[in-house]
Amino acid sequence: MDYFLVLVKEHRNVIIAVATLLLSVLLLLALRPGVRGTPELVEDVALDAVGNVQSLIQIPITYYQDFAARFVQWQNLDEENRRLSQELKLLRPLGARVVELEAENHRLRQLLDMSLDPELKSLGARVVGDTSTAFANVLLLNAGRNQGSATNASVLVPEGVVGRVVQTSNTTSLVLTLLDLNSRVPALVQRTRARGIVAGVNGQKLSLEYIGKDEDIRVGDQVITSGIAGSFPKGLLIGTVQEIREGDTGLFQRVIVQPSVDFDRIEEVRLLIPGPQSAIIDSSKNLNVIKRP
Amino acid sequence: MLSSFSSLLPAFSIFMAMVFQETALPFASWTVLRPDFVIISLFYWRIYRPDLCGPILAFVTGLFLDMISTTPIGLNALSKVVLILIMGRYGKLFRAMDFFLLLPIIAIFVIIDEAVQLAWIVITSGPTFRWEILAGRPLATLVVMPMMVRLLIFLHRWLEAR
Repeated sequence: MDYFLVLVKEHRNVIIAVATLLLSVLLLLALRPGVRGTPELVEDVALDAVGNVQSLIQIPITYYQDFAARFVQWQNLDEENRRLSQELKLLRPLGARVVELEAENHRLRQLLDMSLDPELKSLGARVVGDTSTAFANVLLLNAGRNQGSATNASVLVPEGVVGRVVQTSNTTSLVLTLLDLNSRVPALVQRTRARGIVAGVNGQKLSLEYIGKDEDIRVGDQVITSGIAGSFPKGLLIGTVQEIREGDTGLFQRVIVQPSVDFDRIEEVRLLIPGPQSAIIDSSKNLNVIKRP
Repeated sequence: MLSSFSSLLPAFSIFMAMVFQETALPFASWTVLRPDFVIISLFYWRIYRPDLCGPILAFVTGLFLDMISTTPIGLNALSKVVLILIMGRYGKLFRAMDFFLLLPIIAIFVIIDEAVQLAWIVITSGPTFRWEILAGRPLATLVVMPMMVRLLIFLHRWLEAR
């Protein structure tokens, strides 16, 4: 026993080095891709610790940004006023059209007797962390369970879909963006209603997969969420078809999609949090509310 | 004799480096040209205070990085332990080197870190990565290293004065 202890003491550094290396490899091999595996409490503490300090770092940055933005606004006030007046003149005739479309929409919904309100709660949050690397694309938000955030919440900006919340701690949420390799979003092409899956490829473009070769897809077509598979509400903009690659073999064409969101410039986001009655949690519930004549 | 807080200073500085590195800054280039403050900190403390920065600290740092990103748990831990072992192996050599010679060496360490992670990702998921980030990170790390090391020297002196 003493001999063993002396041996351990003598080779302490080597043992620690080998043990940490082995442990790292074991963790990598033991946990399946996509399954985090670490205890939730440990991840909560890690996210909270990093997120809270990052929120503090963001305070002076936000002040600086606000000040710079105000300064630029003051400079362009006259010009902006003229531009907005012109835009208002152009938009005024569209007002009546919007009212008409809204009324038509209302009538059609009543006709179908179909509830499209999935009782989503909405929550604003600021991006405090960007832990993206060449191999992962994730964002850290300053809103967690305490603020009402929840796993699987859709994350949006005015330009379109950013991704979904994959983990929450008390004060932070981790968002898997559409660009990430592990991201899969059921989607459809708005013009033709062709259904597919938008997949991230760890690049700056997205791939629309499982689109049959006979589907009529054109460059410039808009791709939106399909609302199936219980992940995102229907009709959120994902991006625009940029390129279509047809191979000689196989059943599907490969469609490259340019995301509508500039992922390098996201500062604030809106979270759509699925409620207890939401179609996002269980899409089959939505089917039940359609009353057959 | 160092107080217990002082001996935690390297770990604290590595944590702060990690937090700042992963903070979202309002610059479009931040995604691509983001310096690896963690590797600079690990390198500095491993070279000048190897007693306070060993494989366990590197392992925990890597695990932390894995938890706040979506990389497979253990990937950053593995790459950081590999780095700390190489740094320790050639520690005396690096200590004797001129500072300007250390600049390309830190870039090489960032490339080794990326290579370990890249190898695993390519094996498990195929060649899906952003090459511009792979290229940008060593470059940005090399550029900010003098400033970062200056800050670490300040902390180191404070630590030695305790």
